Amino acid sequence: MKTYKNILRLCAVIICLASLNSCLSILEKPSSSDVTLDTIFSNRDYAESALYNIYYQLVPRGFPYTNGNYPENKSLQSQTQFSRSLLASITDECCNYRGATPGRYVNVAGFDAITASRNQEDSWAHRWPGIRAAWTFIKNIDKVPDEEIPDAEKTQMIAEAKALIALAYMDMLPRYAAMPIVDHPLGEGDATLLVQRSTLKETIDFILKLCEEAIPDLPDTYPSNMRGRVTKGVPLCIKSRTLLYAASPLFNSSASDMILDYDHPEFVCLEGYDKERWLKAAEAANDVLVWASTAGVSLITAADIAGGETDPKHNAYGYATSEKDNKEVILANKGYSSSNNGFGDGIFWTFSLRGMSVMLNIIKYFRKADASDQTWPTTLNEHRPFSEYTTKMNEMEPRFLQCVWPAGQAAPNFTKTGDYTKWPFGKIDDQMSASDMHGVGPMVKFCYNYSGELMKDWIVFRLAEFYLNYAEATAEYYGSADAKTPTGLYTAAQAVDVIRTRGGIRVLNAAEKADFHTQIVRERAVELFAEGHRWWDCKRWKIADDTFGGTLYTLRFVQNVAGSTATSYTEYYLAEHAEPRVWTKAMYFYPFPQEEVDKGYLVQNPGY
Amino acid sequence: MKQLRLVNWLSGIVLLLALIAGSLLPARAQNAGSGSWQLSGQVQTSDKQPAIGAAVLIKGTMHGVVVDIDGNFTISVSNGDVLEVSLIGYATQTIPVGKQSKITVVLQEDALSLEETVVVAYGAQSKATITGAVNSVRGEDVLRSPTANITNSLAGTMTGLTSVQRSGEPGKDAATFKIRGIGTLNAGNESAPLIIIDGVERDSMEMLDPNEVESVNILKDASATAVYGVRGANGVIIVTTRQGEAGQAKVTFSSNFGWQSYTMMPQLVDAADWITLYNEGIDNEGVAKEKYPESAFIAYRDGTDPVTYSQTDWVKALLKKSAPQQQYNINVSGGTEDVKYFVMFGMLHQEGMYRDYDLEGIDFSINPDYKRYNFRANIDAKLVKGLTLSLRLGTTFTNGNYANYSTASIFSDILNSTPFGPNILDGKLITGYGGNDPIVGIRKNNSNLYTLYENGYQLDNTSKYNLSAELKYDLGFITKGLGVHGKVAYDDIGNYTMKYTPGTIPSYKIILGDEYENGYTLVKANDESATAQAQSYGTRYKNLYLEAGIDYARSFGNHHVTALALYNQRTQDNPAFEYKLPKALLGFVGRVTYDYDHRYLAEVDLGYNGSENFAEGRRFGFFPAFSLGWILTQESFFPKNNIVTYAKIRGSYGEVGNDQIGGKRFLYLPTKYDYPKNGYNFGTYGVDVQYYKASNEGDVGNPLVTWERARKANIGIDLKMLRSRLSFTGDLFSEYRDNILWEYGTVPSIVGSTPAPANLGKVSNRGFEAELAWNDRLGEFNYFLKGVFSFARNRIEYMDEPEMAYKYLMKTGYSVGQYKGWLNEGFINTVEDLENQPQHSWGAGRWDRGELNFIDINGDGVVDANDKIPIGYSDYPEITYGFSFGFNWKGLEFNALLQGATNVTLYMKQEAVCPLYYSRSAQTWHMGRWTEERYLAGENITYPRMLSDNINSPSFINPDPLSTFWLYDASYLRLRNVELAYNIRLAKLREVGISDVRLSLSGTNLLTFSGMTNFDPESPSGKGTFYPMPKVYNFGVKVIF
Repeated sequence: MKTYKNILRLCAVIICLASLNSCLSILEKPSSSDVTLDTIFSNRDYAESALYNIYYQLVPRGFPYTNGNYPENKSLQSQTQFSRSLLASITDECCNYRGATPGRYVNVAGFDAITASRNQEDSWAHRWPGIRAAWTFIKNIDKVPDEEIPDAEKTQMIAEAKALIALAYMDMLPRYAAMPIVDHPLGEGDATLLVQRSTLKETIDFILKLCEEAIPDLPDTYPSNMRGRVTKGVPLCIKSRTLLYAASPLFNSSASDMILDYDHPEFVCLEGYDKERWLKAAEAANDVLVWASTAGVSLITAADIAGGETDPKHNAYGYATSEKDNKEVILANKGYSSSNNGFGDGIFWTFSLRGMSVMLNIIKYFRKADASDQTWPTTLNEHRPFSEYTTKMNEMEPRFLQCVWPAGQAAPNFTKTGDYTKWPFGKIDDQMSASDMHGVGPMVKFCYNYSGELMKDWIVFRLAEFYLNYAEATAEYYGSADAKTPTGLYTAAQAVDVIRTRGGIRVLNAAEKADFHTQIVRERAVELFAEGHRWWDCKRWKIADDTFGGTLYTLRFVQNVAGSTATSYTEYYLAEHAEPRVWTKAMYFYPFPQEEVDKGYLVQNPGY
Repeated sequence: MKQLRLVNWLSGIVLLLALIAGSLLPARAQNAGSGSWQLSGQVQTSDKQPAIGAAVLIKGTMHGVVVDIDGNFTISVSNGDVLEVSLIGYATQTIPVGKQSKITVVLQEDALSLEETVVVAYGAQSKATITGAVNSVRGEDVLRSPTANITNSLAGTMTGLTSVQRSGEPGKDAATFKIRGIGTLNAGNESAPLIIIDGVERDSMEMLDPNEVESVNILKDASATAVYGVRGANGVIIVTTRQGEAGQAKVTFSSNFGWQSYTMMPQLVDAADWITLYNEGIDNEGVAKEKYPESAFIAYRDGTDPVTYSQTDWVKALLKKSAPQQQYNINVSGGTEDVKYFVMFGMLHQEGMYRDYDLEGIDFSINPDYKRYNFRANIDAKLVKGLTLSLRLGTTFTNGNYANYSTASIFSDILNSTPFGPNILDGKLITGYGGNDPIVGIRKNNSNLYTLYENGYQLDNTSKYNLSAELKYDLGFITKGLGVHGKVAYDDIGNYTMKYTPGTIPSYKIILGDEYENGYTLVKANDESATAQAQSYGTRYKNLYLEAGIDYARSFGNHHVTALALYNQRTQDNPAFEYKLPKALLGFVGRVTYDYDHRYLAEVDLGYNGSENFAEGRRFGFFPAFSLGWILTQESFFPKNNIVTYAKIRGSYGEVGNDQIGGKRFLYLPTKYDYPKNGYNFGTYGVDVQYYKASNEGDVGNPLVTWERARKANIGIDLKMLRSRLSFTGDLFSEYRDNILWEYGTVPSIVGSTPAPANLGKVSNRGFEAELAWNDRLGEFNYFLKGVFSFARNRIEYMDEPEMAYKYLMKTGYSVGQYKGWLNEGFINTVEDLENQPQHSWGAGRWDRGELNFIDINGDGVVDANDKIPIGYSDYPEITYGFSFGFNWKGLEFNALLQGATNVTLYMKQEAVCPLYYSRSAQTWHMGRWTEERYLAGENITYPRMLSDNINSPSFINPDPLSTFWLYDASYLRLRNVELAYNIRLAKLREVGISDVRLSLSGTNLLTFSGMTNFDPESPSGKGTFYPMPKVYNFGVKVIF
């Protein structure tokens, strides 16, 4: 009997212990298909997905995201409330239709280091995961077996990754000036993660070095189905824009010329004017033009469009700035995935909450079709007949009508009809009263042949920019509009004329050549309207105090009801002050978020 | 309509009563046999003296008598009754009535009534000798509150428990609990207590019917919670369901009918006031917006042309004055010594407050309509000698009808609508005017009701099965006092939602014109389409719990020892979990208590737990706790007296853990890549463009991660004084939690990745609790007074935060959830005030007289984010208190609970407080805005100057105006519960088998005293877009057979 009991006890103990072991295993994670770094760099499909992620993360995009339609990883602009606006909305080019749109936080509050997420146009944090992904890719791509990806292709992929890092730094350069140089995936093995800012010169050199490393390994073109990847032209464009910034007055100056007093001039200027920087900028721009001529990249002309030459609207400019994958585009953001990348939102989007309208300030840079200047109302609050407005608008140069939709008539470049044909009468969003609107008309750039699409590629580099980069730098270096660089394809004036001619305006006359810088300022305002250049151009020329700090003007359209029946209207328009904006000299540069400064690796930019 | 419901309810009760009586009567008559008889007896104290003042009560009723001066009594009893004999200062005795006609009861002094037990983790302990900090509330006290959701019955009843109700929506009105405040960095679920129902961890207790609850206990200190190890750091709530009592079947039927109303809603201005504010705003801004004409103002004020100048009060349009709520419960308890059962069926029907409209083309309701059905069968059976089986089978089904439009949107729409427009006219939904608007150019809103109906409705069904079976085997044959037990529990929880979107809801526009009858006609504004849609969603998840333990309890002379060793594991299977994999937790529990002569008490508790969140080798945590107690009154040197009859000092120290951080799992795993994640298009548009998948580095692993550890100390004292009439319990506690799982705050952005949470945070939490109660009797008038008070304040000691320019900007050093904002001092009243203003980092050009005066804290001449200082508290109260009192006298009972909270702040923003933003409404208190006249007249100014679009006001700082002006002191004192009841016990009723009838009138939240006038002080911080808190008037009937 006792033996039985002992055996029973023994059994019980064994069962307990055995079950205990299996019990403990319930805490193990059951196997599931987890992907790790080793998985990613084990075959072509995974490795390519890591490369494409760099594109997704680092190619700049200027169209807003739809409200609430942010990408999952909250990269790009979505970390700031500015994600629902265009850069143009904080310049003198445009403003958002309605008050509460995010771009407006900058306009009413300026930049603020402390509440950065709300006020800023850019989020300091958003590019770094992409830069990390790029360096991780460069570090690990060799792990992929050669039979999956041959060596030569790996070399090219590394060059793409480097060019994309350079692109991200180029994008940050005018915003933050000098930056910490991150040249590997930060983390294990680093004594500190707190990488300090390098000097502005070192930052620029870092961008140029990455470009130089990438250029030899990149192709001029890709097969049609891989369009959108980084060609040799991309690092050339990065160099051109970077060197143009480096040569311009904001950076190319000594500490005594700084906008604001600052203990660290090495972070915001190149500590001395050097004229040779203009030559480098000119040559870099010319390199783009030379490369383009051999790589099948050229300006869109009327001949490129079906029925083009006879089209009175001179569609070439609209086509070049709107059509996806046209031959003038060197790099565009093609990262949209949902059914709406916010394009419609940012532009006019049935006049709902978030569209853009064009300011009176910027349209003064446009000319009439005959290249003479238009006279716009100067007396404020003077009621003028609406018909006069219509006349004036229709006198403007072709590019104007590809940018601005004259109120009260059909959009000049739409194929879509219906609700889109009139503004603001008859189809005002019922959430706003007429007085909520500013502007001389809705912005319709990027809308050539618009028929209701919600997705557009944001153009990062378009060939036309480099004609103007070349013209400006060459004229600055040689002091003459008729000069050209030793290898130059054009004189400065010829380069501008190419752009003007394509835009449907006569070439420069002698008087204009003599006042060439003014023409450059004007031509960039027109040709590159709303493409995200003006915010930087006015700063690098150090004229932002006037352009962004001055008073903004708008037109207003009034439709009065006579008596109690709504059958007869009187219509008039008037010029008035637009909503006042905040501008401070500190806004020449962006603040680093205070919480990042508090972490102890960044010296804050001046004025914050 | 309402009357109809009442009639339904009454006829329902009658029918049910008839059914029950009909089915039970014959049996009852047989069993009762001789019916009732007079039982007489005597009650003595232990020293053989008459127990003067002792009460004899028939248990479960209010029927009782008080003994006479000689200790004698006579009471009418029937078979199956149980007598409860009580006298203050003596242990209550219960005596089942057999056939006897005369009894003698000897009462023992209860200074140390060891029989009274309290439920603790994995067992019960004697209340007199327990050393941990534990509170309890009995089910019958929970029942006094006519709330639909049991979680709302506990506020103010126990020290250490903070209960906050953030919504009153039927079926979605559960309170959130904290025990001893918040001890970790996370104010969300990670600081919520563990909920244990019948010994098994459950997601919530809100699905229980109050009638099935025996007691609710809370475990507060480490001694009480250490055995829960890695899950016990936030305290534990233990709910025990009712067990059958041996004896004849006792059938209890109860029914409650209540009227729900709401405590507070914002009062909206009418159209004329709105126009006043808007036009004034345009003047203040000096903008060229069109004003409303004076004629419109007059027309709206007169109201003589209600079609042309129609207006709507949206609060009244949506909410009706009251909505019914009904509860029915029938339960049967009984059995023999060997098999006891408690079976119950309960039903709740709660309707929402939304007004019902009879509208063309709408055949559904958007009003919440919530039904809950509770079934329970608890069976305890002695199977063979020494082997008992306990089954706890609880099931809840709920059916809810809701609008297919979120509650937040519904209430947001109310606050975001101008008062213009008829919205409903002639039984039709109106969306505007066709042709001639009475006021041109000014925006009017769409019909909120149209939006509400247009979205349709949804049906939510849930089913919850909480099942458990426990076998206990008494191993007394091996050694006395030894036992083993095993337990299996299975929960199955399903949710099923059907969403119905109707086809086009007919809507109309008003056409005005003298040619029409009454001056208008209605034309259809939309085309019919019959594209109704239905979508359904279902989820189901399961939990399995296993437990096996061995316990021991024995006395050796004056040495009393108990011991417990236990293994448990829990697996949860829920497709919503990260990785979609089941979740597991396992633990070992050990407990030894020692008690010498009921004088010196000691206890050691051990929890040893493993969590899937941590790497092997770091997976298991050891959580010990020790406690000591000393009952002074047991000492021979303590003089016997009537002033202090019982005094216990107890103290505990121990460690408990927490392994939760949001829903994140397997935190130790190496860095994960997300594939596919996002993507990019390559190719030529219109030719061969294609979307290519991308992959992205996900959460970076942290192999070193481990549980957060709470070190808790507690000192308490329990006193009974003045012959136990006065009792006092006080506790002082201190907690220090470290290794709190938290995100790094100092890793720079340039790293470009998100490090996994690490054991970074440190939080301390201190406080005290006191409970003072007085129980006495004046003849047959029994009464009690009780006050509970709890205070807990936490402090963030460390959280990996960068060093900031000013200490006050940091979170470290302040409470979890401490509001930080600007300090306002009045308004900018005069031109001098305006000239003396510091600069502001926002609102350029908009500062003017009438805006708030912001204080430049650091004196640098600019009001900016560096001037944001700690203001107010957090939105969980630091102090909660309750005061209850009641009496019973000859069958009449009265109970009231006043409950309050203080040191709590709410932050209301956006539509909750800011008027006139596009179509936004204004509230009556906005009429107290700043104007020069009102300032000069010295009137009370409640709001900054008006703008036509106040969101642009620099005072408001859209969207985050966190400054003192926008914070509300949410302290409150409210009449949480009040109940007046009468117990009837008539011989005539007993002849038909009804032994007792209890009629009651009760109410919840009938009065609220608070500084807040627009929203209830328990509101969630934010936009004021929640279903308002209920106020309930209730009439109840309870019949015991």
